[in-house]
Amino acid sequence: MSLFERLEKVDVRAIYLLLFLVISLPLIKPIGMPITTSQMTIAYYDVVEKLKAGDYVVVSSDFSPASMAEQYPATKGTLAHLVAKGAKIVGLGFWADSVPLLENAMKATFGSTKDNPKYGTDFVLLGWVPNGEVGMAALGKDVQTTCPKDYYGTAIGAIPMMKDIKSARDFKLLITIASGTPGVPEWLRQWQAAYGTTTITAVTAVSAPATRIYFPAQVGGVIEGLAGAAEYEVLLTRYGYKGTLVPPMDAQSLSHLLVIAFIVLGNIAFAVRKYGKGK
Amino acid sequence: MSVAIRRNVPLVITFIAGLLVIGDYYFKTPATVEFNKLVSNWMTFVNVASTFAVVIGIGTLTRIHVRRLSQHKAGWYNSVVLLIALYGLLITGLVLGEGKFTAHPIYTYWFNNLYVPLDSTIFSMLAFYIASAAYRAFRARTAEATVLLISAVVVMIGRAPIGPAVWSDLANITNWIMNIPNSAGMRGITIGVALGVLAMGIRVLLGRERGYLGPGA
Amino acid sequence: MTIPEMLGTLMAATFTLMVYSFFYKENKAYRLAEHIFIGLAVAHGAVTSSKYIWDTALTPLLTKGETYWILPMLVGLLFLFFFVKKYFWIYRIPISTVVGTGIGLGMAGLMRTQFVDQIKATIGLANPKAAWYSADYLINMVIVAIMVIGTLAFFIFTIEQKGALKYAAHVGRWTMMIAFGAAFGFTVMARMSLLIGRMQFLLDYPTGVAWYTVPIAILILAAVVLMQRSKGAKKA
Repeated sequence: MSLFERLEKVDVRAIYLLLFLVISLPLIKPIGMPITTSQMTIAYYDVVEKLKAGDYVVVSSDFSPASMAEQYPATKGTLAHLVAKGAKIVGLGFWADSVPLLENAMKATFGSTKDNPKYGTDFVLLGWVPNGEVGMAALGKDVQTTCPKDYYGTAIGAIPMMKDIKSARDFKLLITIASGTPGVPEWLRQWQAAYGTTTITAVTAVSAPATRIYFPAQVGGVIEGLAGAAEYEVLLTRYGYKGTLVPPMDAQSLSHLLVIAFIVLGNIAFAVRKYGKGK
Repeated sequence: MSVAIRRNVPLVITFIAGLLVIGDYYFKTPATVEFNKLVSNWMTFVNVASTFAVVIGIGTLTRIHVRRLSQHKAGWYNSVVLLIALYGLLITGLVLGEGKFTAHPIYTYWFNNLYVPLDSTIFSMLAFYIASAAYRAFRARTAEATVLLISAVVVMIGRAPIGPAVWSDLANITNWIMNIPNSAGMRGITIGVALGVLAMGIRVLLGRERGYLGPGA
Repeated sequence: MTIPEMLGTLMAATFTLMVYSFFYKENKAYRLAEHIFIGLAVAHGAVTSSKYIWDTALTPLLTKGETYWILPMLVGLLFLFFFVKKYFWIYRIPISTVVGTGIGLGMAGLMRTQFVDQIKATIGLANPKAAWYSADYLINMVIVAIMVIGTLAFFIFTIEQKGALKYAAHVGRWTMMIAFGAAFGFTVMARMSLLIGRMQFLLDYPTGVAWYTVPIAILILAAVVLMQRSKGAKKA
């Protein structure tokens, strides 16, 4: 067997081991490659920057633990930015397994949730809303009926910041941390198109190409995956936010180079086998 | 009950439900306030009714795995573990939760230390598969496949920090690819899909498409 | 870190490595972890749904006497007829309410969001101050319009693709190749990010405790490989 034939038939576990090493090493010993901010992340940041103290913002966590690695940092960064702007945060989710993650992000930002003195005045967690797009439409029409209690069982009428909130028109901004369905298109159909609510989103990198078509007319800014979250952390350093994504971005860079190397090597081996047969 | 009624009642319900919400979406005037309120109540009704669908999941899973257990099929001990996990977390949330459901600290502990790691790890396996697929399957056999791979390579380098660190213009080239050909292609597909969904939706509302009703429809 | 937190982290790390053991060979540890996940996922959905029913329907029914909440709960309970072959048709009633409402809302919204607004974005106004790679730079706007029309032309199958339509379809094909290439690039980015997240958890040294499990897992793997090699040598 020639070298290229052996290369084509290499044990798949060798590929897995190489990937494991390429990702682990920069996490143990970071390189510190500079992170440059992109047009999409700057647009997302600028929309939040325009908020005034007391503006109501919906933060909808529409992702699962499966995409937590990409979206949890964006969630924490967004909450920190909203706190810095003095916005009133209404947290909820349309994915059942995302709401506890949003609660964790709120704990990381505020220190605690239900027992926090600011809970109910500056931020609230309303919990899970069922039925995807129908739930979004119902929420937009009547917030109090769709979410009669918060995540901890307190009646919504008893929460000071929610007393005067009736419908989507009472919110200045909608932020959706989305990774699938229900997600961005559903929110755009039921809130942005129906009520004109300004919308920004943090999506997984898989959804990023399809989400670009909505920018800037329908979606004001997009955080695209882990890279976008890292760029957002860089922008938030002016508020004293301490990011954790420099080592992961080093790992991301090296893993991309590895995949490109695999593609090139695989194609070279294929081409040599296919076109070298005539010799 | 006659076959005609059994077959047609669900179709009529689908039609009326669809018309109600379409009418509400487009007619929001002072004259239609009562109608809008009716549809708002209808949506809450549907939200509550839809949450009961989870019983199908619990029932099906229990039926399959109890059968596997009782017949001592290969891997029956996995069924034991599954049923323990299912009913264990269910009891933790509903009975031991003291009315707090998922907000109870014990529930949160198991959710954060068992469910979250398992879910994120199972999906992270895709990284290994994509690396092995990149090596073994992604071949530039045609001109179109070559263009696809070149576009992929440029975007992969351009979006990671290493790209702009090596060549500053790479970020702009990546932006151009994403803003121009990618947006154009995705936009064309989105418009096409919108027309397709509209056609499919009309077929469902008019009862010509019955796949959603299950077998025998 | 408290002892329950430490035990929780070690449990999380152990199950993570049990799932990753699949990459050596499919094994019972992986199957066990997979089955636990399925059970937990369904249970979590059920608990979350129960909370919603309690908050929205049961509490006003029991505390305020709002008896009309019985109706949606009764309709919801009709889902149980999924398991009764003789009365399976009753299960179609709640399904048709959910599907009819959902599809109506989807149709109502998508004409504006995914059709009219997309066409408006394609024929928007150029910005004289836009950067060369921007979507609102004049030349780029013309390119986008041509490419969108080409992509739409690619999917016209009701008439024969010849002449201008054929060339437009070719433009669409090449546009989609570039778009799918970009989508693949972003997909690689997404998948790698998921793995990086788990590795960050496992290799959180020295503050975390998960990293203790990594050398133990490597030793177990080495032991399994050696055992299999010696079994293979004995058979030979």
